[in-house]
Parts: sequence; structure tokens; C-alpha cells
Amino acid sequence: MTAVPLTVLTGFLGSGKTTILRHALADPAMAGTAVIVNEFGEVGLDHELVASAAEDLVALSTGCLCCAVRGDLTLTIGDLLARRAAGEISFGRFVIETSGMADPAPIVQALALDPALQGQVRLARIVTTVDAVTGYTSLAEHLEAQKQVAFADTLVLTKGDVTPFRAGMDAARLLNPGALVVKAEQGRLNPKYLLPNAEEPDVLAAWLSLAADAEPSHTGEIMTVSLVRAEPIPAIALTLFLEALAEACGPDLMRVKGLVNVAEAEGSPAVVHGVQHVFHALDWLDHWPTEDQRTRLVFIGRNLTPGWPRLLLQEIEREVSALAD
Amino acid sequence: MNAAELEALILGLLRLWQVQASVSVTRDADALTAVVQGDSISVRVERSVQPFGVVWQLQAEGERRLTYPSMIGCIRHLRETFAPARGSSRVVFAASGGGAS
Repeated sequence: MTAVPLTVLTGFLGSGKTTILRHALADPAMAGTAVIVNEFGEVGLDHELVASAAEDLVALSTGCLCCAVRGDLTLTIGDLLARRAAGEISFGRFVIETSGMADPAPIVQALALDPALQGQVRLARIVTTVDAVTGYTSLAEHLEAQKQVAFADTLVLTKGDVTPFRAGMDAARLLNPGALVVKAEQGRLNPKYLLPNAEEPDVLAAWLSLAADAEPSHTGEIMTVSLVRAEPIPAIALTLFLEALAEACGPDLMRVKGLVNVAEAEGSPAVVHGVQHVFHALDWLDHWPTEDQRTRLVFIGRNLTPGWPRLLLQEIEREVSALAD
Repeated sequence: MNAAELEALILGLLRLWQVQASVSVTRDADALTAVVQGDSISVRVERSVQPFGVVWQLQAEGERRLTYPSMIGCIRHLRETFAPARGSSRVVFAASGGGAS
């Protein structure tokens, strides 16, 4: 069975998530999407779009399903998957809108670790809205807002058309300089940014260019640091390195992303994606996307020291090498 | 590994955990020894290369000396000593792409 891709749409209170979702629901490009929201009423579904409605599920004429979270999110997802398997409903992807104060980490971990969902759902992307007007204050004052930005693959600037202020997005870029940045116009976002894989090459390129810069950035305690190295890394050293990172950083390691030149698979770089300690099964590319065949990894976490991941990897490699000798 | 690298590795850990402590490193033949001095406890960290691989030996004041075959054990020991309230994690590779892309 192919895992159903899932997009998490998050962002701080009032940052425009629901407006974006309401517009997206009317777009035929969203056909085949099961949208999970906290409350139907918050989205304000256009009644002309509603094709049918049950107690917990609304089908739209655009081919989109809308479902409210009932208690546990994984139960809601599991229920929708069961109804799909029974032929009651049809969809090919999920979009989840979180509450404004949500920490994305538990959601990501639940998706990856819940035995009932194993292999059935895969996290495709995390999209975070940043309010051009209030984003700076939210990021300065609320750890939840910082984490929502730090975990993002894509940052969406909202309300940029009503204010010239850029401070909110500038602060978000400091927290997560590798994320793709797009702009919503009058509350509308091209639905492709909510769908899986639409701009994946752009996302990866953004992270890799960040690693190449090798300049750490930070906002408060949250740091972005990179690791670049030319020599291939043995697979076992890569695994132990990630273990050591998780042991040292715990939940303070928020994102790890990049390309790795694995010694046993030269010519086929491995794409590493991690959200806290949960890592995507490695994706192997057929070839390097550019002439640059160095390992380039970017880490976002609290209180990281630039250069420290490189030292840790070096030591792990020495240990592996000493065992091999 | 040289003395500066060991010092930087340990200082990086202490910064992660927001622990105030000093680190001094000395080299003796093939072994490096670091003393991590916190407010109320000190730990001696010795890294040596044996015929069978790298060995980490850690000993807090008044405690038994414990031996680890990897830096990961050293990290765990230091965290449990200096920052016992800090959480750690075990890496999970999610089946069928459970991580973010």
C-alpha cells in the first residue's frame, strides 16, 4: 500500500491559516484531498461548495473532503483511512490545519510512530504561516511560534499585501533560513504549496545553498548550523552520528536536512530529512543535483554550537574506522 | 582527536544543556584526559585508542570509573551527571517516509 502524503499547515494564532485553507478548498487543484480541521465553523465552508454532509464529514463539489478532529488526531486519520479502505470515501492526500498554539513536534511524532498508521501515512511537508503584521511579536514572545517556524519546509508570508512590514518574515528567516518562502496574496496561496512534492527540488536546493553558506544564524536560543564535507561517510558512521545527535540534543534538535555522500553508495546521494529524532527512511537520488558532490547537512536546534556537529561526526568516524582496522 | 577538539566537543555538549562548567584537557601519550568541573561535581573523561578501538572512560568524584566503547556512551554519562533533567532521544527511521520531506 502506498502511504498517503500529509501536509501540516501550521502558524501562530491569527496568522491566516484558516483563510488560506478556505480559499484552497474552493480550488479544483485540491481535489482528492482530505482536510482535517479543528472545527468546521472556523473554516467557514462556502455552502455552494458543499456537495454532501454527514455528522463528521463534509464533501465539497471540488472533490475535497473536510473532517473535524474528534479527540485524538491519529484516531481521526485512522478512521478516514478505514473508511477509504471500505470504499465509503475517496482521497489521495491529507492536509491538517493545526491550532494556532500547536507545537508541530508531537503531531509529527504521532504520525511517524503510531503503530496503527505505520506505512499508511507519510509526512510530505510542514507549511507555516507568518503574519507580516504581528509575526515579529509572536516570534519574539512565544516559543510555540518559534517552533512552528523552525519545523517548516515552507514559510508563507500572510498579510504582506496590507503592510510594508517585513520584520516578521525577517525574524522567521533567521530561525529557519533553509525554508522556501512564498507569499499569500489577499489570503490566497497557490494550492500547490499545500500539496506534496510540488516544489521539492526548490526546497532541497534552498537547504543545500544554506549549508554551502556555512554561516550560522540564530534567533534567541534557536540556531541554524551546517556541516559540509567532501569525504564520503560510511553508512554506519552516519547512523551512529544521528544517534549521537539525538542522545545529546534530545527534543532540542528540531530539523536535520540535506544530502549525504555515503561511502557505500558513491554517485547516489542520500537525502536526509529529520524532524527531531524521527527521520524519513533515506531517499536515494539517482545522481547529484549539481556538480557539488559534498555532504551538506543543515541542523536547526536550540543552543547548537557552529562546528560542533562536524567534530562529532569526525569522532564517530574515527571510532568506526578503529573498529574496522 | 586532539586536545582542542575534545574540549570543543565537551563545551558544545555543555552549551546544549545550558550547563555552566569548565573544561581542561591534557594529553598523555595516546590518551586525552578532560576534567569537566561543574558547580558541585567534577568528571574526569579519558579517551584512549586501544588495539580493539576507541575507549572512553568516565569517573565522577567518589564514583566508579565506567568504560564506554563510543562517544555516545560518553555523552549519555555526561548528560546524566550534569543535566539529568534534560531529555534525550533515540533515532527512529519512520517506515515509508514518516519524516518530513
